Amino acid sequence: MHDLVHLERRGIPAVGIATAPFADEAIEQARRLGMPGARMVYIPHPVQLLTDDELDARADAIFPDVLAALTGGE
Amino acid sequence: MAADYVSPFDERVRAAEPLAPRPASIRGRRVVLLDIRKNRGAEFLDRIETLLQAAGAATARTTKEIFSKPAALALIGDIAGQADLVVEALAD
Amino acid sequence: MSTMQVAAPKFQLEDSWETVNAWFLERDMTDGLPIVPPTESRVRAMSDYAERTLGWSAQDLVATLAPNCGLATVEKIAANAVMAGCKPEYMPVLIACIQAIAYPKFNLDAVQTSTHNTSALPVVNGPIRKAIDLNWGYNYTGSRWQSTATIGRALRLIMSNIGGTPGSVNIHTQGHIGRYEYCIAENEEESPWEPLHVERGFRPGQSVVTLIGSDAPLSISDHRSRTPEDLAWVLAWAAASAWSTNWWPLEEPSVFVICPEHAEMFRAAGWTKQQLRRFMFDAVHKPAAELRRGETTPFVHAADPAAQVPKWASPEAIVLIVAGGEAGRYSAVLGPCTGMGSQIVSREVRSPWPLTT
Repeated sequence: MHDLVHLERRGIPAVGIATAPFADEAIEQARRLGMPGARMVYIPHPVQLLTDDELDARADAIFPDVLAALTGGE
Repeated sequence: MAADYVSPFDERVRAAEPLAPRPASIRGRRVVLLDIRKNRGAEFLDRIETLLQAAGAATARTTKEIFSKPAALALIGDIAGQADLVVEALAD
Repeated sequence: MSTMQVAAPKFQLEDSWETVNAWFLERDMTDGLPIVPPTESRVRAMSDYAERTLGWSAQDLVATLAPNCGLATVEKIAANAVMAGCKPEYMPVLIACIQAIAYPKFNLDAVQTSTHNTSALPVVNGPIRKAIDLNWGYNYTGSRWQSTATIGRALRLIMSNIGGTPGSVNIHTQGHIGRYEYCIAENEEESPWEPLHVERGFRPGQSVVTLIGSDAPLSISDHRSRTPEDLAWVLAWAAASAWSTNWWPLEEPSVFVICPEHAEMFRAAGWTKQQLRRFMFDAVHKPAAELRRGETTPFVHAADPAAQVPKWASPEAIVLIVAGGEAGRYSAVLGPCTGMGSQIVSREVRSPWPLTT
């Protein structure tokens, strides 16, 4: 979250991707760092034991959200 | 009867800062993919990179020193100097 | 003297133990246990002690704590110390602990926010141990000992209330009992070796806290070894599965707490700390082929199957301290905070001047 905030402050739109259990922590850190709107996209947990195809499918599923986060769409 | 107590936590609320302005599209933009170096992150970003390129973006890859600390400001500076957009992954 | 000063707000509540505790519990500002209400007078007594003995002012900023960049002023440290049940004379040790965990190389951010079940372990050395009646003998982890228990508890409350956000920013998968209280003192009197702080470059007469990111302790029984070699072998191999069974070698420190009876065997044989450390390092090796199951390191994957892989990357990853009661042949090992770049930090318990990094 610190990285995203630093980049946004330098005028660089950024998005972080994490697994769902990190959501609460990320939201709170963003608020405390002064950038509650910092963009995050979440994928289901866990990922460590996914096959490559399954991992690709997770990426495919959230790619529209990644684009939306970088281009200001909802 | 009331008594006065001292707050034990940091109750400062920072005024919310705005995000950087977003472009209308990623086509023609340079996206830097920042790998935080957790396991499977590189493969995940491989797929995201492929999708970004298919959508018309130019891409570059870089890595954080270690996933557990914020990136060094020098690295942030380097990224900011070459990127229009950044994707950071994968925290699990 | 710190140039940044921040006043802690005051708030009013009904002067009732039940009301105050309910208020704090509802806001996740405690560890789930009852607290001593942080009245202005109690907090002032804490911060006044720090001012009288060390020169800190109540509104001086001691450190900024991750992950939320919380401002740990003397007054806020004092408020949490009151809640934990500390006496004012514990403040100098607590302040030194806060300075240590805020040091960048400790990486408090990772200790606070990872799923890894780690906590910040303070090891206290020097004259301050006796001055504030810390416990380094039987049950040194704090049960029934006000100083050890409350300093450890205060440190935890501060990490949560100031560095983190009460109720969140703690996703340790298993948790760690050290998240209630964790603070130990070394048994320098029954140790045959130089204490930890002297080994790390301090004078024996200096009071020092050393903060180590550590897992929960594993008890090591050895009642039958008759030689220092056998005992050292048993101690070393007890840590073979620290962090993860096949994740070899470990870069980060494993802390061995050697009980006085075990230490006596090494003393009688004339073993130095370095000799013991070297023996333990050499004792724990396995062929790479035996480590290629489940989670293991890139090092093991790349090694020749017959190559001998050490448990630790170097002997210096083995930290040795002495603590525990004079009877009983149980030592302990605390696994490392692995993979997060957390390094051991020592701070002298002293005045804020001159400020050092």
